[in-house]
Parts: sequence; C-alpha cells; structure tokens
Amino acid sequence: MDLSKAILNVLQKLNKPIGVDEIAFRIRSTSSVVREQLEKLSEAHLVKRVDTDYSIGDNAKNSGLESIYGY
Amino acid sequence: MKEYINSYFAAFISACFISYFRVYSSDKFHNYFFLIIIDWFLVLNCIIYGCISIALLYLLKDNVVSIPVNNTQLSHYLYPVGIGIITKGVADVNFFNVKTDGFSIPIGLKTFTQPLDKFFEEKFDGVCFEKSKVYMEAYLIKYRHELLTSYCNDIRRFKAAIILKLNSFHPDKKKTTEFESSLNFTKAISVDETLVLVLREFGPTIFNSIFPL
Repeated sequence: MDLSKAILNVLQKLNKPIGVDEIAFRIRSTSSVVREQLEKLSEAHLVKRVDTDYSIGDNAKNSGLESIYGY
Repeated sequence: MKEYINSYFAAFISACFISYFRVYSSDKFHNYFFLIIIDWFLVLNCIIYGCISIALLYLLKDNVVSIPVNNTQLSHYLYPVGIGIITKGVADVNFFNVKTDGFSIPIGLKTFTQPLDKFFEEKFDGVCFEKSKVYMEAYLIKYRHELLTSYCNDIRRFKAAIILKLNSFHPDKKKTTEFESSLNFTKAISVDETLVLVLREFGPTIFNSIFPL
C-alpha cells in the first residue's frame, strides 16, 4: 500500500482530525515523510487541515468502505 | 457436567493464549508489545476469541474430528485444546472475495472477523501511540539535549553514532544496513523521529542499550 493510500485509510477509519505524529505512528512512518505527503494531499483536497491536525478532505469522502475492509 | 465445563475451559484458555501470542508475534506490534501487555483491549480480544472457541467446540461437539484416545487425563483434553488452537484459523476461513471498484469484501467467517481484527488493531495502535509518548518523554529530553551538546546540533552525526551503536548491539548486521538505508531513517531530521524509529524497528531492549537514561 502506498503512503498516500495508507494516510487516507487512517484518516477515514478514525474519522476525526489527528496530528502528524499519530498518523506517522499508525502507518509506521516518520513525521517528516508524512508531513511532506500531507502537503501534496492537502493541495488535492484529499485531506484538510484543522488547526495543527489533519482530517479527511472532501475529495476522499466517498470511498469509506475501502478503509473498513483494508484492501 | 464438570467434564464439559473443563473441556470448554480448556478450549477457551488455549484460544486466549493463541490470540495473545498472535498479537505478540505480529510484525506490527511485536516491538510495542511491552506497552499493551496488560491492556484491556488485548484482554478483550483474547476473551472474544476464547468465546468463539467455546461456540466452535459446542458446534463441533464430539466425533467430528476423532483423536485416538487412550485413557489418560491428558488425552481427554486434546480435542478441546486442539479446537482452541485452530479457532483463529477457522475464524479466518474465506471462501472468496467480492470485489468492486474500490474495495473487496471477504465472504466466509472472515466477513465477521476481519472488521473485528481491524477494530482491535486500530485500538492497539491508539493505546501504543499514547503510551509510547509517555515512555519516550524522558529519552527525548535527554537526547535532544545531547544532540545540542555532544553533536553540535548535527543530526547526521547523531544518526551516524546510532548506526555505530546498532552495529555493536544488534547481532543482525543485515537488518542494521537495511535500517540505515531505509527512506524513513534517511529522511529523519530530528531526534524524536530517530528515537521513535529505533524503538519501532529494534524493540525496547536494543533501544535501552543504545539510549541509556
């Protein structure tokens, strides 16, 4: 699973804003790598920033089942 | 009656043990297992699989699988213990997957156990994250200070020192080499990230050897 998909899966599953450190922990990556990827996802409106945290963006909201079954 | 209760108890305990061991030996949680060793979610996970094994033993009853029995007390418990051990495997039975554009749903007993496993995985991650923050706090304070004083705030020198220590403390040189060249390690730009990575990849024993308090 690539990094973007892993990040989106985590955000979809939790369905609440979470910090970069927690996202990095959950996908077993590092904050620097995740932050870099979040910026790209943010530009594509796949994630949105809520203060210092991130949540799922409008463009990614329609694929919720994918995260439940993890494929 | 007492015999039945003992059989169900044997199946329950063996399924609990296997469930506990599965989490312990999983790639994802092995190095963080010390943080969830007595966590309620882990206990609940074991109890659920213990209960599934009781249901399985009840459904299979006797004679579905025959074990040649001699008259010892031990052989009497072989069947329920065997059921307990195979519970997770049976619960993961997946006949086929229904695939559509974005996702795939397993059809079989896994239809029910996969969301359950995902739920617990997510809970374990949450607990590990919170507890690891507390666990790491003292180490981070000490080694942020050490980066400034002993390594002139040069993260590359700090990381090089870690690799040297890993080579002396960890028996598997190949793993250390892979770690050194991994994307996460090469892109790590702070003490926090580096320490988290070492704990995640090598576990608490190596971590404590490299970063004594």
